[in-house]
Amino acid sequence: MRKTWGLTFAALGILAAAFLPRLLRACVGPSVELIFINTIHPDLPVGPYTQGNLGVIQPTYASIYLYVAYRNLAGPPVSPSEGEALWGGDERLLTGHGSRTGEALQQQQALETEMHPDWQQAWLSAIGGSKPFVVRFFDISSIPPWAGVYREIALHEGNNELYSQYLNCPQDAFREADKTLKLRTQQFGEMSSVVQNWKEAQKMVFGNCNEVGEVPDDLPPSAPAIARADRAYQQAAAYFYAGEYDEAVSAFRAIAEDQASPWSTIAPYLVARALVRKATVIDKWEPDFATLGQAETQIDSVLANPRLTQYHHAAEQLRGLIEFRLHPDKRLAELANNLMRGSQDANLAQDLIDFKRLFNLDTGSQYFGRPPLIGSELYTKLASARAKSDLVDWLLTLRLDDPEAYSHSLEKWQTTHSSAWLIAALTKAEPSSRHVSELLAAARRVPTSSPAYCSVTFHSLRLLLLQRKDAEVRERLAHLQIRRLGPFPPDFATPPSTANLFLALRFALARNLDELVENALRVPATVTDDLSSQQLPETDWGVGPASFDPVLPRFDDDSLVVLNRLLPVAMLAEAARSPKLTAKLRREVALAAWTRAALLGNTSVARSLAPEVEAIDPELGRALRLMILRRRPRTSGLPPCSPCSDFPA
Amino acid sequence: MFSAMRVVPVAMLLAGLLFALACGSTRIVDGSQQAQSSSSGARVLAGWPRVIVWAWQRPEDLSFINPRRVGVSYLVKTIQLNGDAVFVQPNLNGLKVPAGTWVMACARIEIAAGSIPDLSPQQAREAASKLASLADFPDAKAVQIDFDATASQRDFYRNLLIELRQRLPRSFPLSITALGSWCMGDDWISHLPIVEAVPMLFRMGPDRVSILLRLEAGDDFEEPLCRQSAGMSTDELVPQLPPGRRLYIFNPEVWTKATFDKVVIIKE
Repeated sequence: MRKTWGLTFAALGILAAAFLPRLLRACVGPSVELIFINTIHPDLPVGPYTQGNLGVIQPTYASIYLYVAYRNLAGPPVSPSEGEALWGGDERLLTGHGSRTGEALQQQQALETEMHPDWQQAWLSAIGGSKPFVVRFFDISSIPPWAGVYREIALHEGNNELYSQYLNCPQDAFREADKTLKLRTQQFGEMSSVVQNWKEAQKMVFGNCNEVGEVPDDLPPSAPAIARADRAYQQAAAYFYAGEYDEAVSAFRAIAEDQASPWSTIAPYLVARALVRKATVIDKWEPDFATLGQAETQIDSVLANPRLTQYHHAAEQLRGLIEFRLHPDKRLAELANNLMRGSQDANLAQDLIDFKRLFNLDTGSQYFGRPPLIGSELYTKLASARAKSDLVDWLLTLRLDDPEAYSHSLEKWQTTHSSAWLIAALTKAEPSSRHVSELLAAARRVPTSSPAYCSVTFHSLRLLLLQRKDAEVRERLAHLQIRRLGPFPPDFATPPSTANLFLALRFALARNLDELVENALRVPATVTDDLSSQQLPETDWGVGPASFDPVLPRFDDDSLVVLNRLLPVAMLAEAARSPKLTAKLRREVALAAWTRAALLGNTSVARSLAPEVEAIDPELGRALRLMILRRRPRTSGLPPCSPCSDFPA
Repeated sequence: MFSAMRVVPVAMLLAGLLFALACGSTRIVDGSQQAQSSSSGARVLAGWPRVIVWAWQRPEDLSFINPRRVGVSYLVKTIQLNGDAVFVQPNLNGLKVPAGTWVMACARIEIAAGSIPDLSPQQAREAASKLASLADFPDAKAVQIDFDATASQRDFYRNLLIELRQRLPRSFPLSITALGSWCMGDDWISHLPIVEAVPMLFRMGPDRVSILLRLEAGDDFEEPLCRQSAGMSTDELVPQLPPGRRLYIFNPEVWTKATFDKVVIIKE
């Protein structure tokens, strides 16, 4: 019986003492993840960050957050209207309250829902139909922000089947058709043969959206000229949606040359669109770069033609798409420079989408949930884009996992003295890096009001700590202009992740148990059971243990390692009584301390903790008291335990 | 589904056992416990390939696979929940497979980055209506939904699957991917209208240690829906699986014949 108790205690002691981190962290409930420092995005809500409360910037933030940081550091700061474009009008993302702004939501829904009355109902009522005019509506994508009809491709190619999908008929096609129908109805009357013929032909045109349909026949020469011009345009459009791009290009070119046609000014632009389609859809794993080159030439001619000014905006956007595929590095830099114009960028929302996609494609981020660090090979490959845009250069340098990241950051800072590059250099610096002292001196001059303050201060202290300048670090931490280090209310001034980073520094410098315990406690920045990569907060803890409170302070990994592996058991017992710990943590520490003491045969500590243990588990506590009262010799009842030698007695 | 891989030191494997003991959160199932199973579901699954590869958000040329032995679950679209809205992103990356390949039309559900979704019954209905067209995907033999639903999202997901099931043709099987924890010590999926739940044994996060330990010890998933198949990644080994499972395999890189031959050996 005594041996059984001894073995039981030994087993509990081994497991608890060895794996206390998992015990203390994991017992909050199934699949709960405590994140003390957010690494993918800044602390949510993102409003304060957008306005310049950047905290300590992490190189692993998704590109959109690094862009916002750069804007706040290098200017111009992000305006409220730009915030709409950045965060889609979602007040909850910005402030943690409210909902998507009504206007932003309506606009997006207007673009993206297939049931919106602006175009579909108008179209249906115009042609007198009550059901969709295509065989089957497919799906509507939010990116790009066009509602439309997608086409599935299933091709038989040799012994293989090929499947793909693409946006075939975007919403602007239906809008334009609706406008034309209204115009012709005004000109000729709803029941006129012109309008009726037009409607029948247009049904055929859009019948190609889902699958290959028909192309309308020519009108007889006796038909009005404008009707014949409309028919030529509808034929070209039908070829386009049917995927017969060579025929579409020829047809649109012919229309472009017909100066009498009302479609002659849009036709050159549509030639380019047909060429882009030919280059990128159907059975292409990679774009047909030769055809894309033809599209580029065509779209440049549109942009150079003053007669076609009304289509220059659309042509610019199409050119962006072409450049995205044809010259991605150049396009990345162009987009970055557009984004730095802020609200003066008329295409801010689309440019941001394209920039994120291109940046993620370039850095391989699109296949993983978390933005990966990049190597020197990719960094060199993107040298051209970096040379054209300081934003791209900064983003890629932050992500670079190579000594060149420091040398390049240092060089850029020495040239520009910008706070963005000071942050990059300090982030990448090691304590013995050359010119570190200059960087540290520059960091001291950054005012507390600067968006760069937290980042430069944290990394300065990190480097000083590694240089073993403990006294200086301690002194500066004591006077840090960062409010509320420690448990804080939801309405925080310092982002929780940032506060936790500084607490970790203070923890590393603790001179006594009191300081250790005080700085061991951190409030998680995010508490989630989201096992995706987004580190999004879980808000409903109804299914977890009743005692689980997501805003209570807890131990992060650095604290647990010290408590578990480095702190002598007597001190751990003392920590269990610290008023700086929450009641829950005191109980957990007491149990762990007792278990270790029992295992090590340290009966005085075990005895001293008996009241705490009994409060946690009365039955165990009573058994302990019995064991202690029998005053068993230390050498009996407890088996040898080799792992115990790893732990301080 | 595709969160970052974690390195699992040996100590953590043991810590998982401690977690299970200390928190008392799971029931250990021994081999003799007979779980409920749907006989009709078993019949449906009987004709499915034993190996199915996921084709995800990149162009995939799988012309090298043996269509008699290997199937493909192709990500057709991603549904994004954003506030009270439901947005659809079709997968614009192509897929090439040998003629006659068994294809499953798959969709992933995500929360738009930084968004807090409504998760209302109406949103579930809307999402289901946008997913129902998966059954129309050319040559599709089944539909699969991939959603890492958190605790607070379960009601929504349940509603969505019920709505989707009603919209799919009756004979069209519905499969889902499942977090490992759903299959062990949690019965929330047991009454969902699905024929299988594929336990995803990669990128498992905090549950990884405990689940792998139990599988290593010879335990099986408690939830019968999870006992037909298992999902794994080419870059994350699973030490042991109960025999006879259908394998779904994910590759974080583009599939090549070399990668496939390295990870999949099919005995004829």
